[in-house]
Amino acid sequence: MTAEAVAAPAVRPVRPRGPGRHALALLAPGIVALLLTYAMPLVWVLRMSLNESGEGGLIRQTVSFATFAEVLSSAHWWNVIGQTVELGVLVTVCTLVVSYPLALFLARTTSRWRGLLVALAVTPLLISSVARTFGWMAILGNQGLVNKTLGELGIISEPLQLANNLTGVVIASTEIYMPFAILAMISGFGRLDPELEHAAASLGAPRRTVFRRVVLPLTLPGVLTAALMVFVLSLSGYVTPRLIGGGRVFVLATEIYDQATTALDWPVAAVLSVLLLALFGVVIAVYLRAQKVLEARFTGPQGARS
Amino acid sequence: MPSLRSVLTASAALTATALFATACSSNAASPAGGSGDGGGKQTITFMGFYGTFQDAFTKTVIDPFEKANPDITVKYVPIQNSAEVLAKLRASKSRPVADVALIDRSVAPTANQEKLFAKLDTAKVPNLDRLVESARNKDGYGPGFSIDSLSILYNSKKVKQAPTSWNDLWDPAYKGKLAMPIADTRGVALIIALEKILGADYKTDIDPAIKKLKSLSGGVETWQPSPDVYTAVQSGEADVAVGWNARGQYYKDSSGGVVQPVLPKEGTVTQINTINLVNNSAHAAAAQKFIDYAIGAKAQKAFDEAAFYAPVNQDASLSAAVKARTTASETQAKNQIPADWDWLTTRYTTWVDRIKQEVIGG
Repeated sequence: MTAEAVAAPAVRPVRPRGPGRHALALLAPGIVALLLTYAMPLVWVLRMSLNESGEGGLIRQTVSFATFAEVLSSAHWWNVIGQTVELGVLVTVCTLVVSYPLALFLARTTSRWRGLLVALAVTPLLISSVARTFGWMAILGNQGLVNKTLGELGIISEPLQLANNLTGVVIASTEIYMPFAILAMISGFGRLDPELEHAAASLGAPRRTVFRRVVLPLTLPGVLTAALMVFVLSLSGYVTPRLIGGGRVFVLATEIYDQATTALDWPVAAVLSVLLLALFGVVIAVYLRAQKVLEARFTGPQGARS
Repeated sequence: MPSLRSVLTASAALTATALFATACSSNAASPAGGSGDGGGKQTITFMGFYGTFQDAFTKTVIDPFEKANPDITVKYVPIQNSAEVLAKLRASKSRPVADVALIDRSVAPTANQEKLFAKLDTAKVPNLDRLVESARNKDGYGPGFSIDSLSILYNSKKVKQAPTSWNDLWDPAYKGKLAMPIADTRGVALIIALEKILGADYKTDIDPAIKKLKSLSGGVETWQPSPDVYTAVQSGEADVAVGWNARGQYYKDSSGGVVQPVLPKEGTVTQINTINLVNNSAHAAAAQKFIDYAIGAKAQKAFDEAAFYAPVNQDASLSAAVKARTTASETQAKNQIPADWDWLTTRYTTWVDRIKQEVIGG
């Protein structure tokens, strides 16, 4: 501040607050768009959550935490929150397990097809998750590929319940979030250097030790980012639980929709939305904390490579 | 603070943009065609359900109405469900985005109470006098436009013995093959039907129906068939289901008889969509003319024969073949299970919550 104030008179005619003004001008469209599409609805939802609902979808304009109290004292809504988190954890673990080997391969390969392979890994994103969920229903349903095949082979007599329940949602969600996880991991694997693995091997470390002591710690930040991404996507996921959950999987996203459109209870829908937002806050706090712990544990407080 | 002025400039610019955007959106929000009531050509905006409903409505109600009233054009805005109508009208109270809107009978009292809809002028809507009893609104708000009913649906390729009664849903032959999308109005209607069968009164205690439904839950394959119950029955993903009759009848024809809707012998519960004049409409006269046409005998007959609803107008006589497929048939009319939707509006949420928590989640 002081240094700038001293220097200011000399440069003033040339660039008076130029960069700041340009930056603001460039930011303006984005800020306006965010204000209109994000901040305004959010304020509206916060306001709605302080209202109370009357009979038949009537909204009593007031400022109270009665609707919050009502939701938070109900076992049903805690159950919904629990199931949302449970689904998020299950999906995150499954997605990480199946995506990690793929991402590791894609990050390390020196093949000239690498670009093509990475592109292939993310091509599922070109197809809407609605279409992909329907695809999974065709595979997992009672009349689906899996049950038909197993039934014809005489392995099962009754169809396996793979769709219309939590199992179906986890399977379909895992596949749907895989491209996100793979992308997040590849970009987070920057510290992975083949030289380090060679060095470890030349010092006599067996492959398993190299993986455990070198590869895994160096890739953990990428894994953590992928975990955050998949977990957050899964917490707010609506399409897959709704389509393949058979009406049995109650998660926050589907219940918010139902409260708003079927029960017409907008205050409760708004409270649930605020709770979901709070849940995101918790998740991000946990992520930041975990990131710090990881940094300290594996690369030392100052960072080993810098 | 060298940046203070730029911050101010930026926020001024931002506010201007926001104002501009609001102005644009409220312009866009007003019904198309700015012309007022004073003669000349007018456009009224109608909010109705999407899909086959829209096709049938356009062909049998809007097209002939426009032909008879060359100075009025009707713009159809398709909506997904009644909640969307409520949301759109709540957001545009003073300059509504529609002039006439369809809404579910169970949501209509809320909209009327919030003054989203206006009372009709009986002089401008003479057909109000010709309505069947259940389609009338005693307070003078929008009357019923179409009468649907809850049906049992089955896949005729997979089910040998057709279900004829609500009790057939508990037939062990269908165990694990049932699609029961009942966490909405369909469940509310089903509870009323079951209460009658069980000799209970839905206004005092719905425990008997809830208990009965609970005993079904082990045999239910899905509580939320995707994309909808009619396609699930058609594809054989579910053998037996409950669904709305009108759509079921439509699918019966389009699937070549694979989907078979059954109006159970104990009778069924009707669901009514009401047609309403939006409060503060700039085209109230033309809008009421349109409502009058829509509930008139001619439009009712044409629409119901295309879409299999029961008519709201006493003078509309459906062809015998169509009549037998709706609740207008003699047996169904005789056995109809009455439902007090005004009263139900106050219980709707509680009932749906009980279905979700005790029947599906229990």
